[in-house]
Amino acid sequence: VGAATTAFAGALATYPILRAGNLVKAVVPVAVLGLLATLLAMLMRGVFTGAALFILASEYLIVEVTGRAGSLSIIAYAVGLVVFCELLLWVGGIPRSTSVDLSVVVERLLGIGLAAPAAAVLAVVVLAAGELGFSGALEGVLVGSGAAIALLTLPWLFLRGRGSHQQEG
Amino acid sequence: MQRTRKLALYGAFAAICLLSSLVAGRPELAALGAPFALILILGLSLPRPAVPQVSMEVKRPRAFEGEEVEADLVICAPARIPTLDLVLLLPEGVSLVKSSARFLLKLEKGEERRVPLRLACNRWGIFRLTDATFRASDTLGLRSADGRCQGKELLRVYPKSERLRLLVNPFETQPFAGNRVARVRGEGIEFADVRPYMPGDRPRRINWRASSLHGAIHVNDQHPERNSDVIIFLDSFAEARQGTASTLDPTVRAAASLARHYLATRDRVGLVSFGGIVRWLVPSAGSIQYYRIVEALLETEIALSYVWKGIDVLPARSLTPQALVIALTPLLDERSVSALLNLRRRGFDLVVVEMSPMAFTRSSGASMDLTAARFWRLWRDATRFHFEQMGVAVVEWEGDTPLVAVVEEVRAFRRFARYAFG
Repeated sequence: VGAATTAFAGALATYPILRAGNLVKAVVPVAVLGLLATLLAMLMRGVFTGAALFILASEYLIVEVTGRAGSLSIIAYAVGLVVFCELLLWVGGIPRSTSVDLSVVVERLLGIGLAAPAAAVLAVVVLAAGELGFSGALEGVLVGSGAAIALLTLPWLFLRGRGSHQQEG
Repeated sequence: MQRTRKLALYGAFAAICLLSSLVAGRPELAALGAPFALILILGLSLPRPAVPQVSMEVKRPRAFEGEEVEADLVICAPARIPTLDLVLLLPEGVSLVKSSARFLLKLEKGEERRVPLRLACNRWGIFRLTDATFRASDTLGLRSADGRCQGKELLRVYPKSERLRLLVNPFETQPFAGNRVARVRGEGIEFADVRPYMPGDRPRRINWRASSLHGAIHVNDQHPERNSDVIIFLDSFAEARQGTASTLDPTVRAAASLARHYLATRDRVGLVSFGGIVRWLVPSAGSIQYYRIVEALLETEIALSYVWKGIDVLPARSLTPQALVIALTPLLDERSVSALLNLRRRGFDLVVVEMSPMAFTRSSGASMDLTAARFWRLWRDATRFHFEQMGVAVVEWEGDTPLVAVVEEVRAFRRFARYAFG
């Protein structure tokens, strides 16, 4: 799992460098930082996972915003980021010298295996909404709904958590 | 129920991507963040992780030091637990054999999982085995239920006893039948002396050869076979400790070994644990007494106390007259030294096995330290000399040499002491 995570991190860090052109000098330090954060996350049981995710995403966005990335690379990168995060959190969650049930491994692999195509399909749908010219209505609805859900999720979870704590008390 | 780091991370990433997409008007950003939002929605719509019930079934609740015990770790799930991270918190004296104490399991609803374990009993004591911490996570690892189980399953590890070929023979015996040849004369097997016939003597005891030689009837005298009372006196006022090693461990092992062998020779053995908490067992014989003593030894601990205690706190029955008192003491506390001297003054047959604390001392090398250490050693020498002057054998034992060597040293001293002081 550690090797797969490192490979994913390497691929995610290398792709923007290859497409960066004259932005290489700006992208390479970010890629190095991303890889360092990944290594630290693996060594420190997932503490730097957030940093690794944000740095690698920023690295890609530098290239993508400047129009150097391939048109469909966003789909692969979205899938790659999801799989990378799942693997990195998995590596951090399994300490050394643990007796691991095989069914746990199978279920986790199955979860990652299902998450990857689902992420790809969702990315395609979002991109298609933009490409098909529904940018005014459908894209707005999609992005707006997503943003609203994301904004409301955290307060909702917070309030639900407090409610359950009060019941327990 | 707790939210995991993953939930916060995915939520933050999805929210930032979608908001940036909205602000910048670029669907690519939404495409990057949407999969994370999807995982969040799916994960939070799934049922929460259940809290498992953890217990331990030990095949044999009693064992000796160095033995291995089979046990089953039983985990029951009231509802489905996709990932259960369980850490078994074993006490210091017990360890797992060829197995990790951490388990990552998946349990279905109502499933009872049994994980076979082999436990190595490394140290004597009473251990509670089922202390464990767990983290049950949901399918996508967004929420977790953390907890700690405190079990009731106890494992009693008895101190291993050493094989002793020789024992310290008590000077006096008791009136009950036993394996020891009494010093007094009476009905027995061992020949003692020849004396003139007295009315009431049994005819079968007539020594015909001596009678014909002296021209008067003479009879044989015998030594009767009697048992003796042995009191094992455990000084639990203080101990010298360094890490996991202490003077108490060999003390308890020696006490168990002595009790076992004296009981095997049909003697009555009692126990006095003299310290912050005073415990005693009235002398008795038989194998049941051995288990009583060992159970009492398991509860021996150093309880810090500044209260002055003399032997007057002990009931008279716990120190039977003419008993041999074997004191196992590090000679660190003045109260125990005083109590032992008091016992000797009261006429008890006393042996002191000094559990040497020297191996546990460390010096910084400063001249003041060295001087203090020297004074301390001189004080210990003076204490030993004081005991020896009173005819008490004092043997220093480091705990790493066989106990039989200590016994032999005591026997040698007592042979010498009988000539010198007897």
